[in-house]
Amino acid sequence: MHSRHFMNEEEDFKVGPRSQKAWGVHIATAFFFGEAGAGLYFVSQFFDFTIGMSIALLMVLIGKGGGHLVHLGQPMRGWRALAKVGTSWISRGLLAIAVFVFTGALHVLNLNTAFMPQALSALVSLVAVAACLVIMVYQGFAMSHSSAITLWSTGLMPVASLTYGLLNGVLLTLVLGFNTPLLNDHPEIFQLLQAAAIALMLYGLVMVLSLLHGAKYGSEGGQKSVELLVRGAFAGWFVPVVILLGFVVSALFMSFAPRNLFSMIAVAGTELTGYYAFRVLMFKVGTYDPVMSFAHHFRR
Amino acid sequence: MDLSTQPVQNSMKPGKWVNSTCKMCLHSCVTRIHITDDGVVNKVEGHPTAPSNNGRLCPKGNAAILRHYDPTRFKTPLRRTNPEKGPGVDPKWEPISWNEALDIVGRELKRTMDEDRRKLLPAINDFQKLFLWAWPAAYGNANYFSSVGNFCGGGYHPMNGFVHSAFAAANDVNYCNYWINNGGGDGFSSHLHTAAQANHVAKARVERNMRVVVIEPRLSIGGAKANEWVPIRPATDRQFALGLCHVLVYEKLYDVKFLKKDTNAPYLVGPDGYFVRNAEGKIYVWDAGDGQAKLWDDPSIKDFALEGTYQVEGKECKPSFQKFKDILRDCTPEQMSEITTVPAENIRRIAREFAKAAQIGSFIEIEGRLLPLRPAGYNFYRGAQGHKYSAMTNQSFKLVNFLIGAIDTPGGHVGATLDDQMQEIRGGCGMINAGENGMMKTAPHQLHPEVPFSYPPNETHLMGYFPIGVDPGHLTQMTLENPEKFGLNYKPDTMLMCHSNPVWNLSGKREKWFEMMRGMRFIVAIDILPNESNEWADIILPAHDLLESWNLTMIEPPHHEGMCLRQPATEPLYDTKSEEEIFNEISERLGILEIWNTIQNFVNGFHQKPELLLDPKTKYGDKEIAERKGKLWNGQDLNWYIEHGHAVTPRKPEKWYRPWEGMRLHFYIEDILRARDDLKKKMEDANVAIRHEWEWYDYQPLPTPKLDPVHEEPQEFDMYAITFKDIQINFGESIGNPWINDIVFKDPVHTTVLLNTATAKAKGLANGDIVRIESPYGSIVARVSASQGVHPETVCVSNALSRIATQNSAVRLGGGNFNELLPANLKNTDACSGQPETVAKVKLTKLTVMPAEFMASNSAYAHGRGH
Amino acid sequence: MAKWGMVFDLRRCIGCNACAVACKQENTLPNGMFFTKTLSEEVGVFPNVTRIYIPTICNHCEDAPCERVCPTGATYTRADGIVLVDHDLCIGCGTCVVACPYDQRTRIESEMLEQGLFNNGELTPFEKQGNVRFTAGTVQKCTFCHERVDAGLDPACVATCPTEARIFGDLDDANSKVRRLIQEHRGRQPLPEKNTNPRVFYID
Ligand SMILES: Nc1nc2c(c(=O)[nH]1)N[C@H]1C(S)=C(S)[C@@H](COP(=O)(O)OP(=O)(O)OC[C@H]3O[C@@H](n4cnc5c(=O)[nH]c(N)nc54)[C@H](O)[C@@H]3O)O[C@H]1N2
Ligand SMILES: Nc1nc2c(c(=O)[nH]1)N[C@H]1C(S)=C(S)[C@@H](COP(=O)(O)OP(=O)(O)OC[C@H]3O[C@@H](n4cnc5c(=O)[nH]c(N)nc54)[C@H](O)[C@@H]3O)O[C@H]1N2
Ligand code: SF4
Ligand code: SF4
Ligand code: SF4
Ligand code: SF4
Ligand code: SF4
Ligand SMILES: [Mo]
Repeated sequence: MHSRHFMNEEEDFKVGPRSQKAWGVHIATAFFFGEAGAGLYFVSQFFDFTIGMSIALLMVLIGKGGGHLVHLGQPMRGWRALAKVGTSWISRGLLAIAVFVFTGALHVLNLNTAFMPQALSALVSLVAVAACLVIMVYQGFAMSHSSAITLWSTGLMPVASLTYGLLNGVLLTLVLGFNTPLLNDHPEIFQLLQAAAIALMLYGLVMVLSLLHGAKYGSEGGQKSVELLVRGAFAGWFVPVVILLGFVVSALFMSFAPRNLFSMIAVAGTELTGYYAFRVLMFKVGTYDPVMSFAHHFRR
Repeated sequence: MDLSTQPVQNSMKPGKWVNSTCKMCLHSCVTRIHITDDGVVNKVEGHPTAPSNNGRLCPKGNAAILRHYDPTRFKTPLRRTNPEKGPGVDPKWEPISWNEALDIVGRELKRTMDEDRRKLLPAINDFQKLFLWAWPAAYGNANYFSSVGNFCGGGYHPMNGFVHSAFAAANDVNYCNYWINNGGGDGFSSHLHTAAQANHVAKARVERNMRVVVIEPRLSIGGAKANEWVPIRPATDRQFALGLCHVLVYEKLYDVKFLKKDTNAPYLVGPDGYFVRNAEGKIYVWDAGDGQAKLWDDPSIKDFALEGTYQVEGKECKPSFQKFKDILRDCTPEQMSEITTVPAENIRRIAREFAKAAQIGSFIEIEGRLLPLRPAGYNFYRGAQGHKYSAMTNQSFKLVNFLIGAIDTPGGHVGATLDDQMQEIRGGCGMINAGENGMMKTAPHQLHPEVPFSYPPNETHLMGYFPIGVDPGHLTQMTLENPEKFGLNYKPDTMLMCHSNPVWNLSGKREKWFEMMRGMRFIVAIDILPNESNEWADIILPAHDLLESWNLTMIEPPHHEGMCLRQPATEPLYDTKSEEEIFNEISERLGILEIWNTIQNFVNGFHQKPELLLDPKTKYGDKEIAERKGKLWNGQDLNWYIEHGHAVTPRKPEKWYRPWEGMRLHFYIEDILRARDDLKKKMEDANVAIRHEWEWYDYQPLPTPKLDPVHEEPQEFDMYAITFKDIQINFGESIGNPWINDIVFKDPVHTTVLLNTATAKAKGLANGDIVRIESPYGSIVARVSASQGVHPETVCVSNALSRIATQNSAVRLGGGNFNELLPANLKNTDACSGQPETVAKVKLTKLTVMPAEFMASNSAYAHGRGH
Repeated sequence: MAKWGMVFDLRRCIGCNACAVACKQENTLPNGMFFTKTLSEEVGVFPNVTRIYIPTICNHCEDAPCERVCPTGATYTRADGIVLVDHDLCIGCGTCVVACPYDQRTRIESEMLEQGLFNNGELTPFEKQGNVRFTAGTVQKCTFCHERVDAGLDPACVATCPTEARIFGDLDDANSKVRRLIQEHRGRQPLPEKNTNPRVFYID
């Protein structure tokens, strides 16, 4: 077989797995802010932590929204993406973002001014949390929803989104809440969050590894994705950054480092770096299966 | 108006269709062209009514629009202002008027004419306007500085002339069931109306289960589609064919009746190789029934002996069949296997399968005529026959067909004329005429009449010494290097190129060609786009392209005949002229218009219908010439052609099958010996110095298994390099068309040179490595890819990689011209036919430094393929 | 109503990519962009080796994931089964591109249109008349030449294919050539495991 190692295989007219190119860093960035922001909001609202909620809203609005807009080919008509809530996770996500930003903002405002009646405010906060949860998972659903790319096409994708979302939320809360009454006054919350972080890291690690395992045995395209991550062009990023930095180093640091702001920033830094790398790499190694999975049947 | 319901596909837009014919390669697939109401050509399709290409086009045909709108096209006459000339050197063109340009050309060519008419080197290659090739004759010159019909068919065309009295030959796809395809792309990738033939062959394969066996060093497209791919060592195809012949003869699998009745196989051959004749010149055969010699047409002959040794007229003699059988004694499959690397049992099996498929003895009735049915044929072309002993090689393939009786018969191997007006044109080449002693008259000159012998030689390529071949333009390198040796008493200093790229197409060292080009006092090129050759020109005369001009042609059709119309789809985009106009203007300025018109009458066959004759003093444009060709073909005027587009019909069976009925075919080609001895005598008489070096062995009446000299290059050259065309590419010429580039440069077959995987491994070469490919004559550079589909001793170099420096920046540089690897000398040229060796012995050296040409932005390797 | 589909006869295909070029002509596709392309693959080990040629195209899937994931409704299926993109609706989000298991969709970037086929920043008259088909920033793919099909013609790639390896027709018509070929040769859909129910079948 003509080997492909030096050619730009995507361009070659060869049967064989090909990488997707449509989603890249812009979308990864949007996803990053979406899952970090929504996670932060979720944890913050749980603890009525206004700073967290406010920053979370900004992350989703500017980071996620901006990332998407930059990615779009026709950003001016971006609003049209609301059209297919019935079938499209992208529509649902966009709706969730709109609802989230609106209700989240109302909720934060209400926390400070209490301008809403009790019942309404409860409803708004509930809707905000629900929308925030949707944001945390819909990106995973958007990826897992089609069978095109084996690596993505798994129920673990939304789980990964949720896990990462929560983990990001916890770590950001640990950073933003440091030296605020939330954590200063409530050491038990600090401990709880710390424990949650470590648990989520371990869980995340297992989940990412299962993702790879599933992809590897899922299809030729899946196998190629895993190869790229573990041995191929992206192994230098995936193993050290996503796995070691994002989970192992972060978890060890969280377990053993002294409890100070610097440590929290450091852990959040390593974890978020790992997470961002995860998001980018998931796109980079997204591989379609060879169109002709049955090509060999056609041998003479 | 609802815009979204407006058709936006190009062919659906408001506009009109006009009938025309493709010219993206030399063939003539019929097209229809869509032009928008705004006058933009926006779709070219196959013409649905043409039975030849059946409404279909190959990729090149689909890319005509981008040739039309190519921004690098020559837009006005140009004059060079940069006196420095060289590959890649910008000529610094300056636009000038037609009058000025033509006056300069007229003046310079006149000067040459007055000094010595032989000092012109013409290169005119347009197959769709074959009559232009004859223009140098009007000038009084028989030089030919190009390789067209020679690189590919030096031996092939004359041999078709000997055997079928035709230019080309094809397996009859209408009935063939077992198709051996040896070193030719027919039906898959090139040759004989590529797109059309691919259509017919696919149908035969799929709908009739025709078996295809492809014999090639590389897994070509044909190889990939074949039932069996037989990898063979390059330049050993003759030995493979002789191996088949051995089995057919020694296992008595041949068509006795055909050989006895329809060929000269029973004619008795004497010790000197000539037939044994009586005093009146009549040839003897041996009547095995009566046990005595008789004259060939003696009605009392009971049984023509094919075998045996006899004494006749005091000479020991044998039937020519026996002579062949004697040669074949040393061509056992085992012996041939050693040379070809094809396992002996495969040679045996294929021979037996072939004979079985031939259904020897069967008949078929076609249009009331009872014809032998032989649904098996051995087909071959450029790659198989492009070797030193080319005449012998071609004959060996023909003899495989002879043995099973498959010549010119339904299902077999059939002669195909060049342009179907041959009956009476170019001196009757291609016409079936009765010859002496019951045999068909041989017609080895398929392109132009024989060039007379001269000494000192009038032609730089020594065409006068090739009484049966196709112009060996490459020999110019040899003679100009050593003019005294060849007695060349003039130095060519003027060049006229039209539709030709000799600096690309000729074998031999580029540097020596460059040196020769530098030595030219004046070069004029008639072309549409910059290429390796016209970048040396002093004057460019820009021609209309295929969408702007008139023509009528049908070129090398296997299964169909009839003229196809080319008509302008648009007004010329630029200040260009048709080739017809250009040659008229030049001729007028040289005072040879009358001769030119007379010659045009002759080569176009207008003399067959006197009302079509050109008036000697009038200048006829492309439209008028086209109209006359149409009237000559079927009596219809141009309006008829404009309406119908073409006059294509299936080839008439009486012309296609056994048009020589009643004559005998040349199993044994005595004329080759006669040509040798005539030449010998002329050389003796003229005391030609090089006669002792002349390759006299090359003239054989029957093929022998002698190895081609390429196999005897020093041992260190341990691999063979081969070149090939492909369906996407017209020579290297379509490279530069964005659509062609977009498909070609995505295929490792065309972006790297291919090596067998095991060979690459043994040589420590990995995919993407850069190698120098070096022959005893020159070297090129390329990247390698490993492939299972390559003979272990072969390096495959696509024409897509063969382009070198050029003014056309869309052309991708490929690391060097393959022809650089080939010798341009007599030793590796068939003295019988002028065919040069087209395979090179090479060695590969891995390079560690990326050569500069690979870094160029238009390198075939630069695009998305860097390390 | 007809349901259009295509059959690729792999025995016939010679990998010439005339189809790809015909499509570029018909649709004025920019360099590097294809609505159809024919891929190849070597199979086997010397000397028992061959090369297969595999034409690929948008399969106009009955259960088209590209349509399902599209947030704007730009991707839609006509009653005759042809899956199209309305470039006035498309926002270029690329969701359909990653959802198509066959890698058949391309987002057109403005540079692709502006660079020109001759890569010199200038457009030929041919491109000028043809580029109106596209809006930069939107996704496009094979349209099954619906305008030609509506006019009763074969798609451009089908019409040009030298070997007639591409056969276009009505999958709902039991007597159509496509149906007969699929039945007689047990036509296979590409990547059936993706559950898209392609309207394109391969036979050999
Ligand atoms: N598409 C296309 N069609 C064309 C042309 C074109 O450029 N492109 N040019 C036209 C012209 S002028 C010509 S002459 C014909 C030529 O048509 P072909 O004869 O088909 O030309 P090539 O591809 O040069 O050679 C045929 C095959 O020979 C193989 N080969 C090389 N060396 C050897 C060898 O030593 N032994 C054997 N057995 N095979 C070998 C190559 O791999 C190649 O596949 O095509 C005509 N039609
Ligand atoms: N390495 C290698 N060398 C080869 C071959 C090979 O396969 N490999 N093949 C050999 C064979 S078989 C042949 S026949 C020769 C062919 O050799 P050429 O006949 O020189 O081949 P082309 O590349 O077609 O060159 C013709 C030139 O004509 C110009 N042209 C195209 N259309 C028109 C037109 O309408 N009008 C005018 N005036 N000009 C036009 C183009 O600019 C083109 O560069 O090459 C031989 N040399
Ligand atoms: S084979 Fe030659 S004439 Fe026919 S479509 Fe292709 S380029 Fe045109
Ligand atoms: S045009 Fe036909 S033969 Fe050529 S690649 Fe396309 S499908 Fe195959
Ligand atoms: S092949 Fe891809 S683009 Fe075409 S309909 Fe199916 S999923 Fe959609
Ligand atoms: S890119 Fe266009 S067609 Fe594709 S999913 Fe987005 S809006 Fe729909
Ligand atoms: S059907 Fe039309 S749009 Fe689709 S690939 Fe063929 S030519 Fe292109
Ligand atoms: Mo040729």
